[in-house]
Parts: sequence; structure tokens; C-alpha cells
Amino acid sequence: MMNKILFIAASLNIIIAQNYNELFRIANNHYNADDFTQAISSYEEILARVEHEDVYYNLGNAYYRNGDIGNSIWAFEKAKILDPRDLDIDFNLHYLKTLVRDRIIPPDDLYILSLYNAMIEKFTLFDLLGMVGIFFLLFGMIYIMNYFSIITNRVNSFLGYMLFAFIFIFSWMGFDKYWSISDRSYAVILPTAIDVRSAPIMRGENVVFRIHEGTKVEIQDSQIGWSEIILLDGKKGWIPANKLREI
Amino acid sequence: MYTGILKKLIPLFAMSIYLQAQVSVSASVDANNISKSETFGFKIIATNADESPSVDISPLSTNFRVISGPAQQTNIQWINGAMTSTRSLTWTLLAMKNGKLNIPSMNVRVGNKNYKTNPIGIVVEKGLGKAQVANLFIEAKPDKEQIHLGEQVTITYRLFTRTNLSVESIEYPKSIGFWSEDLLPARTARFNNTQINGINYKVATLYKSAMFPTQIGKLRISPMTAICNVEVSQRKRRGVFDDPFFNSMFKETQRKFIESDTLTINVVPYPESPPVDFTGAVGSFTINTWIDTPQVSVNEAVSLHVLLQGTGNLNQFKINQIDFPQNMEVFPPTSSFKRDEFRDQITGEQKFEYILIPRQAGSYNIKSIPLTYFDPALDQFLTIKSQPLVLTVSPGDGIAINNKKIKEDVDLIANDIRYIKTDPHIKLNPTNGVFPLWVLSSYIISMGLFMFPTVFMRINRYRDNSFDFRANRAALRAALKDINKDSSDPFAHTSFVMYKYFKTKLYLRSDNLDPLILENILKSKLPPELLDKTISLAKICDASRFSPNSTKKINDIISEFKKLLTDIDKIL
Repeated sequence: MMNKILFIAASLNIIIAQNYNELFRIANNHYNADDFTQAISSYEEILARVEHEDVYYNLGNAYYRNGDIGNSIWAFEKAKILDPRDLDIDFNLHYLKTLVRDRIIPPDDLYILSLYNAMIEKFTLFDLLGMVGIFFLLFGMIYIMNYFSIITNRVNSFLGYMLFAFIFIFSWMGFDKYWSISDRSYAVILPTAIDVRSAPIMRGENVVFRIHEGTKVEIQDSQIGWSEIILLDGKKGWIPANKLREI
Repeated sequence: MYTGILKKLIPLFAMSIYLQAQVSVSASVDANNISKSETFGFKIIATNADESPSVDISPLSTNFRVISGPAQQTNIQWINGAMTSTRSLTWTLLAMKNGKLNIPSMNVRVGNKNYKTNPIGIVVEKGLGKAQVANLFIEAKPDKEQIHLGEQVTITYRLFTRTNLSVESIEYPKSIGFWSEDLLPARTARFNNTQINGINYKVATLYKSAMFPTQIGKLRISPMTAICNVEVSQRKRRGVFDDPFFNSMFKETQRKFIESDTLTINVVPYPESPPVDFTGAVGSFTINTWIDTPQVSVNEAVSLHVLLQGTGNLNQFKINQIDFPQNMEVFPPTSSFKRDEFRDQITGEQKFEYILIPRQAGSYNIKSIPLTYFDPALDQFLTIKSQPLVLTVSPGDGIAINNKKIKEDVDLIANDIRYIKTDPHIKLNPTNGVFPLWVLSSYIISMGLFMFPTVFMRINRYRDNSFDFRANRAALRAALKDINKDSSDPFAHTSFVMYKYFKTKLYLRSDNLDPLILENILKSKLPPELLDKTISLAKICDASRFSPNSTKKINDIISEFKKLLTDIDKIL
């Protein structure tokens, strides 16, 4: 009975995957036929159920061809989260960011901090966890080799301390990545321009600054219908929640 | 007696709790008869709900546009000792059609239960007439309606009003096919007085944008929309307060939705074919170049500065590839842009800085750098050139590299995004995002490696401790295996195997066994028949060791040995 259930589940999974692949192929055909609206709709349909960096990447392309820079940047940012080292995603995202009107200069970080942030950005959480796992594996192998006296205590100590340092560093990076994923949420501005307000109330006199389509912001707080955003340079304010798309 | 009263009170108390706790959901609007430009409030109220209701308002999108909301409100009232709590969500809506419209019944979820609201009818009149529109409108005005590719068009959005108002929110226009720059910072609308056809208006510039088309054709710019709170005088009966003095006290505000016209800008091609070296510059520019110092030594870096100044689409085009002399290494330039707004025109300066390293002594001529641009005022292409420069390079102390091959950058003709990914076999199944197997297995294997020495030690200890026991259990198998081995002295071998078997089976410490000792040991353990056979066989083997011409054949002895040991093993 259990085997039958497992077999049915596996078959269903394969059928579902084939359906999505077929939909992906159809969406690509729409894209190639310059029917970007239909391509967007098909890619979004796939992404409502499964996530894949290639689908987000193609969706970003389709949005760009449709003249929707905000949603395009959103899709490339999503693709980058899933595959941070893909060069095509990097290229397109970089290109689109040149089309964003807001130039926000973040405060200068120490070189080491910038390097650390760049490293974290280039790895997924699973990459970091995998690396910690591999270092643990090497640590275990050294432990075994030392147990059977294949390596000397001195070599064992040296390699052991080195691996322990790596495990500590990458575990820290893993936790940092996890915290940044779970605690911090980012979004992309969708309208051409939007007035940012000092409070979650629509009043003419509470506009503090204006930002434009495609700008990436961090969401700090939410109220029904409103989101409090903060820019990289520290500017803060409220905008209607439906004017941004959370990454 | 008390029991009787209690019996009557309990159902009443339960009923009151039930009535108090019963959740009801209703929908209402603040006006049923509105004009098309007028917004109205749509409210969903959940009474006696413990938590805020959640509503899917997508059925509204066919006839209405959500301007803002939802705004959340909670009220608690005590009336005659009974508590009533209400939680409400309010949206500001705008009708998109004229006539009788229907707000359909909505599904509202409160806690785990679903409720349905009552449908509401709304009558939307065809606007409130030209007089009303003329009192309040947004004018979208481009400074040109036909432009060339890359030419600036400035669009100004101005709000005209004859009544007092405050601008609540603005939705800025969306333009596809333009690169745009804001010319007016975000600020509260500032009104000035003006006259149109003799009528006094208050006017405020809401938004001003410099737009540069990036494609040819009729490009559409969507309307700008704004929500204003307009002061409306209340109709009131004549009375003691019917005096201009009290007017301001009897005014109320009404939310109005206004939108500008949709603009269409005609972007036409250039009147003539662009020259080969045209890189997209449109406007009016000047170009200047200079170097830090005219004299350097070999291998000493010098900076070449190129400065573009003028009005137009600066920062949106590149300068032509500069033809540098041979034996001069050139690093990719860095650029900076400084924008300046002058009478709504984007002006400014763009600087490029090249680092040059001459690798050979001599006099280098840096040719003049041409810039071809389209001047919309003259409606033709113009080419300007910078001054040529001379750089004198002295031999210096460094070692000259004569044959260095100067590499060239691969120039991009145009910028565009990369093509989509078309691999049809990507893994699109819902298990994506689950902990990958390789990550999980690395932890499991490493855990196994750490545990291995402990497990290995425990197994070894167990094997050491249980050696005698395991030998005991395997004694018969070992004996039957050993007896089949070839030996030069089969009788001695049989005797050895037999004593070894008994030694292992009976946990004996002594290696010096003989038939007599064996008989004493086995006396209490084996039946007399088997004991006799065993002792007899042992004696035959011992005797045959010393007298090889034994009467019994070795094969018979071995088969008898095997049978005997099998029988004994069942008993021991």
C-alpha cells in the first residue's frame, strides 16, 4: 500500500514537472513571438507554484521588453537570490539598474565589510551550509587519519585549527545570511515615481521625498495598506503597499 | 427555590453570551449617488469579531478603481452594560463607468469563518458638467509635440482650481520609450494666481519632467492623476449664521479624483542619415581635452581629461573611440556627470579621464577628438573637435618596452539585456528549495566519521570480550573445517582437532589433554555411550600416532570423528 502511494506521488510529481516544463516552453515561444504580455502571464503562472531562477530570469526579460522596469528588476532580484553567481542575471540586473533614475549612494563601508557583504551576496544559504558540511567532512577525515596514526599530531593540530576557523567563519556567514533572509525584506518600487510620506496617511503636506521605478528599498515596518521603507542612504518614509513588490 | 431560579437564568445568560458573541458582517458606502470624478468610501464592518476581517476585493476591479485603503478602525461601545465591538476596513474607490453600478457581495473571512456582505447599488452620473470640470483640472503640456530621437521634451503638469483644496496624493505618469529626469523636486503644491479667459484660477505646478525619447514612433504618456480634498460650501437654510463671517465654519471637504489628458509625442527620425561617427548625442555641446603635464618619462602615467559641456542628452551617449598613438598603454576611462538645470533644459558637464602610460620615449601627438551631434535648433548634424595635444616623453630611468602589443577594448555597438534561458529540461517541480541532498549527506557522513573511532573501539572491545564465547559457538564448525585439511600425520591432526574442539567447547585452560583427562572432564557431561566412543577414538588416534601401522583406516576415523562431534555438540 505504502509503495503504491509513493509510486503515485512520484508519478504525479513527474507529471506536474512535465506540465511546468511545457508551460515554460510555451512561455518562451510567446517571448520569441514578441507576445510579452502572454509570456509574462505564463511565467507568473509557473512561479505561482514553483520557483526557478531561469523562469524568474525570463520573466525579467519579458517585463523589460514590455517596458516595465520595476517588475523586471524585481524578477532579476528574485533570480539572483536563487542563483547569485549566474553571469547573465548579473549582467541584466546591472544593465537595468542603469535605467533606474534614483542614484542612491550608500555610506562607505570598511573594505573588509564590503568584501564580507560581497561574499555573502555571492552564496546562497544552502551553499554556505554545504561548505560548512564539507569542512566538517574534512575535519572528520583528519580526525580518523589521526586516530589511525596516518598523520602526526602536529599536522592534525594545524589542519584541525584551520578547518575549525573555516567552519566558524562560514557558519557565521550562514547565520548572517539566514537572518538577512528571515528578518529583512526588500522590495522594488513599481510606479514611474512615487511620493514617500512621513506617516502612513495620504496628505499633501507630508511628502518627504520622491523615488522612482526600479529603486530597491528595504521594508522596515508594515501597516494595513502601507509599508515603511528605508533607502540605502538612510532616507525613510511610508508608501502605499501596492506600489512596491516584495522580493 | 434557588435551583429553579438558576435553571431560568442559565439559558438567559447563555443566550446573552451567544447574542453578544455572534459575528455579523456588513458593507456600506458613504454615498450612493456620485459623479464620475468623485471618490467614495466603501466600508466593511465586522461586529463582535475578535480579529480584523480579511477581504478579497478583486471583484471590485471590473467597475471601480481603488484609490487608497484599506484603512483599519476598531470601535468598542458599552450600551446598558452590553459591549459591542466593531472592526472596519475602509477603501476609497473611484467609479470607472457611468450608470448604475453594482458592488457585488464580497467574501469576508473573520477567524475561521467566511461571511458574505450585502451587494450595494451605486448610481454614477456622467460627471458634474463642464462647470465642475473647469473649476478643477490638471493640464499636461509638452513644450514640443514632435521631436527627434534623443531630443528633450519638457512636460509640465499644472493643477488649476477655483476653489480651495489640498492635494492628497499624485500618481505620476508612466512613459514607455523615454528616459526621463525630474525637473521639480517633491514638495507641497504652491499655488499662484492666474487668469484664463478672464476667469481667476489658482495654479500649482505638480510635476515637471525632461523626457528623452529612446525610440521612434508615436509614444504615449499615460495621464497623471491626483486626489484632492476640495472645499465645498454646504447648502444651509437661511438663519442667524447665514453671514459671510461664518462661511468658513460651514464648509466641508470632498475628495475629488482628477486626471490629465493622455499625451502622444511624435518622435521622428533625423532629417538626414546620421554620420558614421554619430553616437546618439542630441543637443548643443562643446568638447575640450587636456593632459596633466605635457612632459613625462617613459612608463610614467599621465591623465588625459575629456570634458563635454552643453545642453541635451548628456550621460546617454558615449564619445568616439580615441585613436591613441602606438607604444602608449591606455586604461579604460572613468567618467563623471554633473547635472545642472537651466530654464528646464538639462545642461551639465561630463568628464572622462583616461590613464595613459607611454612605453617609449619620443613626442606623441594625441589627435583631436571629434564629437558629432544632432542640433535640433538647426535641424542638422554638426561635428566639433577638441584641440590636438602633444606629449613629450623622456627616456627616464625605466626600461623601455618597445614591442609591447597594445590591446584594444571590444566596443559595444549598443546596450541590451541578454537573451532568455531556453533549457527545456530545467527541474520545475515543487521540491525546489528543499534541503539539497549533497548538503545533508555531507553532515551525515561527517557525523559518521566522528562517531567511527568510538564505534570501532566498542566493536573491538566486544570482539575481545566475546572471543571465547564465539569460539565456543563456532567450535564444531571450526573442527569440521580443520579435520578436512591435509596433514602429514592425519592421526595426530585428528587428535589435535579433537582436543582443540573440547578445549574450546568446555572453556579449558590447559593445552595438555589426553584420553584420561578427557574422560574425567566429560564423565559428567556426556552419556556413557558417547563418552566411550570419544575416549576410544582419542585412544586410537594417540596410539596410531606412535604406531603408524594401525588397523583402522584414517578415512573411517575421520568420518566417525565428524559424526561423533556432531552428536556431542548437540549435548554440550
